[in-house]
Amino acid sequence: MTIFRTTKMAFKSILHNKMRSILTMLGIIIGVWSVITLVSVIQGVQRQTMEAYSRMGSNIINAYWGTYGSGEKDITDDFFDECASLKKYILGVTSTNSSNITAKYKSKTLSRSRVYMASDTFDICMGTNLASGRSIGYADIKNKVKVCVLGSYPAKEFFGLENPIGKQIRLGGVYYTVIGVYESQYNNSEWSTDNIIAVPRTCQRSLGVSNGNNGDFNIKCKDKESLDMAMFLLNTWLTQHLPQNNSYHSVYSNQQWQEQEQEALDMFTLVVAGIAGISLLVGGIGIMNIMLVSVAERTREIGIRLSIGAKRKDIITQFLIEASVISACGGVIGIVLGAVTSAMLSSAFFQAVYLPSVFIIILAFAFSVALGVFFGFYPANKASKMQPVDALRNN
Amino acid sequence: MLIDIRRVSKIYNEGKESEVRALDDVSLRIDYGECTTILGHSGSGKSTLMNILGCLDIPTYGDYYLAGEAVSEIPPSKLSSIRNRQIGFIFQGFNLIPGLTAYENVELPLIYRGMPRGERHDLCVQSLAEVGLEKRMDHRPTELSGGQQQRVAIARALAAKPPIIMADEPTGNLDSKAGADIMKKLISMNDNGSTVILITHDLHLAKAAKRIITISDGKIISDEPVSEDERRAVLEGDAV
Ligand SMILES: Nc1ncnc2c1ncn2[C@@H]1O[C@H](COP(=O)(O)OP(=O)(O)O)[C@@H](O)[C@H]1O
Ligand SMILES: [Mg+2]
Repeated sequence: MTIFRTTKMAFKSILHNKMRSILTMLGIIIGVWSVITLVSVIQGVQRQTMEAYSRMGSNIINAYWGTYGSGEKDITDDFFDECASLKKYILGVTSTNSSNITAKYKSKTLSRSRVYMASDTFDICMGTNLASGRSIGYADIKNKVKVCVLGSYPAKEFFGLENPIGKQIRLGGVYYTVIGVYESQYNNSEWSTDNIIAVPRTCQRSLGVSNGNNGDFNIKCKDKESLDMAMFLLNTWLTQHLPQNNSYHSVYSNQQWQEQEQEALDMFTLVVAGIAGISLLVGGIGIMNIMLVSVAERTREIGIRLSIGAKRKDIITQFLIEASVISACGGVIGIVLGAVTSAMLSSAFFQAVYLPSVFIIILAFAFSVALGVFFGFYPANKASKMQPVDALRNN
Repeated sequence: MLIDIRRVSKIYNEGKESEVRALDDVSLRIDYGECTTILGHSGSGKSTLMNILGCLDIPTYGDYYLAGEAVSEIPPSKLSSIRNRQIGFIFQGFNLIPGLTAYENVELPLIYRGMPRGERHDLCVQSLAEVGLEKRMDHRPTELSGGQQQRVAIARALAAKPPIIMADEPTGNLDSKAGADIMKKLISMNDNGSTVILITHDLHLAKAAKRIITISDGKIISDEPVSEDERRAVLEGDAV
């Protein structure tokens, strides 16, 4: 008996009992559907965070601190000096604090731009890239020069196709000369890091911005080893220079962050796999049940086949193929539903269409077929062991 | 000796109140090329005997030697192959598969034997034509009359010209004309060398064979050759 013929016959018998087949497949469909959807969503989240981290760049330390009391000494400048003295490990440092300051150009007003008090290493610490012009330099900071670098959003809103370089915008009433424009990272979105304006950090006072005695800094390190060393040294320094009882501080790296996030995702994946396993198990039992019914219903047919010369393996093959065709159909339906659902979810949450990977699709399909073979074996084996006459006598 | 059963008994529901001794200590030998009828009333144990001879059932007691080999010692896959290639079995109740067409039913044993498609097709068409069903090949059993179904079953059993043919009341559901045709077919298979064993409860038809074994209550009560004169009378008579 050829596999092709048997498969064709299995399809026939499935179509013959449409309702029953669908109900049998339901367990598999739901199992595969949920696995495909959840795995795609997890992969989407992973991709999003990876992209965010890779934009920020690698070997970045984040350090923040604050004090509860008032009148404590501001250690910001000392912190910059400390970082400068560690230049064996550290390539740059910049504050990541930003303020909401209304920006104006001629009659246009932008009120949601984040203004950063940038150091001369802002770009390597924040992962921003220049599209044109130049960045804020050492001299700008030293001389408190009123210049700024625009993110792609304010550049586009203010200047359109005009060249922004050399133009003057107003920040809180003070004129600043545009010296550079950053590349877009998020399609010029108003709500992203594309809507930023960087000014020399020494211009802070003239903008009327005060952070009180707290800080939030990105520190770019040379490599992984320097990062570990710098983290230790900066942590020690902060412990020594902040008042002991009424302050807090933290020094961490996005590498650590990433690892933790990955751990959480792995945990989530494990839970999902467990749920999927249970639902597929239930699906498999459904298949076994229906195959037992099918064997019972067709006992006479099995008897006929045995008496005209079918071997045990012919009968086993027939029922195994039937079981795996059912589960494979369920798998395919589940995969299609899962793909549609993950496309819908990802476009709703990530503004991107993430489809399940080919690997996951192949895995889900193979697993469905394997499930059919596994749970179909007992009924098939049972069918093949009947004495021809006993099977024939059945009505 | 082709068939040799020694002191075979078949007891249904042994030990229970409903125990039936369908075959009781039966011994029987049938040689290559014989044409034998088994004659007996309904319930006398004919089908039980034939199922054992056809390797579809196993005796409760006693031994069966097929071509010198003890059937109880033959492994299942070889037994399947014997049923498939050596024995053409025509059942009392047709036993066609309802979901398959006449053609597909006839084809099935040939598929199990691994015959190539082209060869299968030729044999199926020829065999169905020989029983006058060339125009009914694509009909399912439910779309055929009882007589036609019986002829499909015969076409299936005879398609590959098996060396042993066993027919359990093959004419039981047919009118006398159709019954006679089938008898002629079986006799011609025997003339071409097949061993034919035939069950009937019709004494007249039984005489078309060369030997009549009569069984009653699970026992062989007579085993006699048919004289050539008697045989010729039946074969040339109107009923056959
Ligand atoms: N599966 C069975 N279980 C119990 N009794 C059976 C079974 N098959 C046949 N019998 C009994 O065995 C006897 C012989 O039956 P069978 O061989 O079919 O007779 P025949 O074919 O000569 O009509 C009958 O009495 C019948 O009732
Ligand atoms: Mg009978």
